[in-house]
Amino acid sequence: MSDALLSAPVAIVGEVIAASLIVIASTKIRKSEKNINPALMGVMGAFIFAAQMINFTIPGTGSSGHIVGGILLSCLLGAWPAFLTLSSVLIIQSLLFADGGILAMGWNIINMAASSCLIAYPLIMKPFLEKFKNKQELSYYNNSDRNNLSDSNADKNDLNNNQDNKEKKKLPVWGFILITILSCLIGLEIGAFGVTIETLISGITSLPFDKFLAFMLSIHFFIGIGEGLATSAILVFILKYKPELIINNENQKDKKSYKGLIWKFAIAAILVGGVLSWYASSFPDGLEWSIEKVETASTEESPTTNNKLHNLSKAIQDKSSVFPDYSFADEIEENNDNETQVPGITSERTQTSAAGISGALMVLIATIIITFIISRKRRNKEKDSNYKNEKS
Amino acid sequence: MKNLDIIITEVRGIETNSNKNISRLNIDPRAKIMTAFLFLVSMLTFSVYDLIDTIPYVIVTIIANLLLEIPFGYIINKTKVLLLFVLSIAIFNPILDRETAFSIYGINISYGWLSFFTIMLRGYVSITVAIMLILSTGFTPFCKALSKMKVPEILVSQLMFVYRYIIVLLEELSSMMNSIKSRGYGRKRFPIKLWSVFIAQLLIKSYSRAEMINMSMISRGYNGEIKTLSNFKWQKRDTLYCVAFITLIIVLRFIKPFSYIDKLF
Repeated sequence: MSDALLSAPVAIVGEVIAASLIVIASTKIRKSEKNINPALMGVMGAFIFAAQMINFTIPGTGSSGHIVGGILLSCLLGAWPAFLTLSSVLIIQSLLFADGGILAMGWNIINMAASSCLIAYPLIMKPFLEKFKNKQELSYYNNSDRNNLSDSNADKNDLNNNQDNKEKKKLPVWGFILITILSCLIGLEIGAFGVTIETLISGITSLPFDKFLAFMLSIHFFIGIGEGLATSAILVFILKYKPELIINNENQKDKKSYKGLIWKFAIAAILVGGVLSWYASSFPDGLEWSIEKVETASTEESPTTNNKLHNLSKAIQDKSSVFPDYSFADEIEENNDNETQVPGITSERTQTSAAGISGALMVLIATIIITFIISRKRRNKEKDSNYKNEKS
Repeated sequence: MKNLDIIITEVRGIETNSNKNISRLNIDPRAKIMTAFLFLVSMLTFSVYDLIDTIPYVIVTIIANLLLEIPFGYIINKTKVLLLFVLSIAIFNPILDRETAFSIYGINISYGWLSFFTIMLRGYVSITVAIMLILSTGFTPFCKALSKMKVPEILVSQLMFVYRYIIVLLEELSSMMNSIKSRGYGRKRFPIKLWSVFIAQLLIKSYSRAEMINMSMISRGYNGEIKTLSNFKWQKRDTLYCVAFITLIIVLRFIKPFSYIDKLF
């Protein structure tokens, strides 16, 4: 992202969001029970910088790339410290190496640091790590194995035992690699999506949204896989020789309530629903667009075809959907009936944003209900297990 | 593969260059940061089709560049990578947007080309301003100014740490590269397997180094705040500089000196 591709309001919004995230991160680190040493964060930031200097060849393509390092840092330091470290690296890159600009810094931090450290890592990588940490399966090369690696004259019996151990625990490693690739991929794709949305809202490019998005997402798909492979290769190496670096990270489970977070998400969802729905209504999404194309093609070829199933499904959809194409169904019909009453663009916008906001609210409510049910189930399970433990 | 030695000298050069420039423009870093920010924001408030109103910003940047005696080659060398990225997105505008804006001597100029040039100029100005800001301030005073502007202390210390250890780790990396080159039988490429072992070694080394640094810092009484010798106070000339620069920005933004250019002919 660069200053040149942003308009002033978009850039300032980005700066404000990034600044507030940084403030949250620093207060969280200050208040955290675990003592995170700043020297470690700083040196790891410099390490990421140095690691970006050495490119690796991406298998099968012959091209080369370097890592961004969000997931790697999160595994070593934890989500918030990693976010802070990566944003300091990004700030230094934008100032000293002309990578980005002063105003684009905010969005760069959000797209590159926040997407991988605060979204992809806690959602995908962290649950996986915790699951295997509890079972102590992640440290699949135990201490005796490490001694064997250094000691070439190990007994044959010992080696055989270790091989058995390895075979038993091979699966988590492959799962680990897959999960790493997945989380890197998702982090990068969110970032790419962010870049597209920001450029679009700034009104800089005359590229159509869907094509630009498809272009960015497909490029970042391959970059993400490369990044994931590289990150997982490093992590597997560290698991082999210094597993405590990854396993000791984030020992305490967060037992705080997520009420504050839910409010933040609610506000964000309303904002997104209200503002972005203006754009959503004017550009049909990819699926709709392709369906439209198919429909027109089919009617051109055989105008008399009467697809009963299609009509039936359309009728069901029209009746069941509260907001067909993000506007209240009845109002659209009214507008079509008497054109003199069309209230103009502004009211159309308010209609679409009202639909967007209420849609977002509905999704939010559904998510809250689902999480409530899941947490309740989990609590019950925990209770059961506690009861069983007490009994035994 | 980037040449590590060149990068190391570049990073070192920033500090020496800035030391040279500070004496030339001895103004409070806070004033510089604020004015640079306002300058860029005011430039971005123009729409992408206001090519004529963007040109004065380029002129101001070039004049500032000449006053600070930063070589143009240096700036172009730094900007080329990012400008290529900007170009790859901006190039679609002239292709897709072919509506004619105006014509000079029979040559039709479309809105697409207008927006293309505006975007490229914006890219140049924004990067140059960032480079000039840091070269005329120096990184440590810049961090000090940030902490005086109520930026969280953790972030400021992070910035200082990363900046300090970039050179150390790059030198470490450089010696590792030298050893791999001298034993690598002319290998130029790094497949992921070799790369990961190489980088993970560096990581483990850096990790143990960080632990040692932390120990030594605690034993010297570190309490979460990095203290520096450079200290500055807001003076009259800083206020003067701010007033002058903000009037310049107001002129550029609201009076638009170049919009009268067509009345001259």
